Amino acid sequence: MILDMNLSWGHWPFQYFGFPNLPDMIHFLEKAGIRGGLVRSAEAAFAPDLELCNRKLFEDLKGADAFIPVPAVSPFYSEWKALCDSSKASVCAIFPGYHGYSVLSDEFAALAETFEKKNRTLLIVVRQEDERAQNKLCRIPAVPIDEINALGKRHPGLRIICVNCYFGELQPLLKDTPNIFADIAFVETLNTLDTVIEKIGCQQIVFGSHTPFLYTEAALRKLRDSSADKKVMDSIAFQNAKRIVNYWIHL
Amino acid sequence: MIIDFHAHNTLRETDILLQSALRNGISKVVLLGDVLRFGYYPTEAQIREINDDTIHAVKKVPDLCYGFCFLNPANDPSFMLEELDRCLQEHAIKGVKLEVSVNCRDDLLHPVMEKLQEYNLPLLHHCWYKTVGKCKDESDPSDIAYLARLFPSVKMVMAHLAGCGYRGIEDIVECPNVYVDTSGGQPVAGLVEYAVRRLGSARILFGSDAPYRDVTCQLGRICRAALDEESKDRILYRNAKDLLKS
Repeated sequence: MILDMNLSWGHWPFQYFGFPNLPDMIHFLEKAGIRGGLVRSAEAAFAPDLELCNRKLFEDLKGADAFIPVPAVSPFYSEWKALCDSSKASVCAIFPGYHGYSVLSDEFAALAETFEKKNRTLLIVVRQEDERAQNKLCRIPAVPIDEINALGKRHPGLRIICVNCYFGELQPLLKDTPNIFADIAFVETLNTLDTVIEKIGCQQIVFGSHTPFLYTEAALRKLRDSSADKKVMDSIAFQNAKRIVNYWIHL
Repeated sequence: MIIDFHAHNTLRETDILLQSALRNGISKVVLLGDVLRFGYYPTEAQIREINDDTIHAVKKVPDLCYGFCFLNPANDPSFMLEELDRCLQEHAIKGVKLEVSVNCRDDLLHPVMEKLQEYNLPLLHHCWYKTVGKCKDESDPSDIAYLARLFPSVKMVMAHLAGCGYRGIEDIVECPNVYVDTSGGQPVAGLVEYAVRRLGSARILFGSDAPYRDVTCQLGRICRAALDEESKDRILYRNAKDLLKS
């Protein structure tokens, strides 16, 4: 079984996605062995109305069972307070690079504190695209890894999933912060997973494909190519995800 | 059958790279050299050392590897041509690799291009449209198209499809002597299909850029692209086979 922590849906101004609708994408993922996952709104990176983005995402994912909508929040939109009290949002996504703030800023402090207190999980979109390939007029910086690491240390009870980190960012990101996790979508080196397991371990690594931005198969093949034993592979493929997010008990 | 047209033999990782290639069904690997081992502007002695390593790596497993001769066009032209001849005499070399030391619009490339024309050998040139982090003399696809038009009978491989992007594909549409390899960057969905639509599957080559990238992951962008089997076979094998034969 595989649970994918890095899925998106919606429009993206710089790329056409290959799926005509969300059920088609989910059908494709299920056929590939991905039984569930966290789906965030791609549009939330730029849209001025996060509430509308989130509502659309929840509507689109109705009946999708194990594919869970992850609403986007920002410290500048007060909706996060209501979402924090809602049972619908035990995981929320943030886009600090796109929404223009630091995770160590005063504006963000109240959100982080409340999430920690209410036992919510934060999904941080470190980047959506390779910075080198961004549109020249739309250069969005990645979220600084040292700031996320510091946030994790400041709030040791806050679970943080980081998506789209590079291999070289894993060590500084996860160092001394067992409450931070990273997905494998952007992580790439020779024999990727075996190298990650050797250098980082498996406890803080989760599966993520960044579908539909990237070819799903690329991430799946990282799993298949690994020589790690089943227990280690299961922890990356789904066990860590279950432990962090506490969905998918039925799977 | 699969040929990886873009891999680098580095000092410590070549054996691991080749094991990974074999595990993933790759039958031949083109080794381009440890091109960044001495930085962006290697001296003549450094160029010779890099090529010696490539020749050694190819001779160690000749059934599995081809080599390309790495050159720096800023070096003395007579050295460059002697080095190419030296590598060719070793029978291990199938083309020339250029990196970022000189932009490919520069006349300094002409001696090597003339030699490639004479020997009917391909050039594989690093290429990228970079929003950030561009090196001073790094070539982009418009530069590759410029050079390709000057030397229309030299077959050129524009490296790094994901780095060149949609605009890079457009730049070479009207340069039939330019191929593109699929290596580089993240496996961005839809780009391979777009390249096939605009260039045709006969001008696209699979490349991994290992060991900087993961062979299996890079294969993923071809294996599950929305392409017919004929196109995939061309990209993964036949185009490279034809190009290396010529």
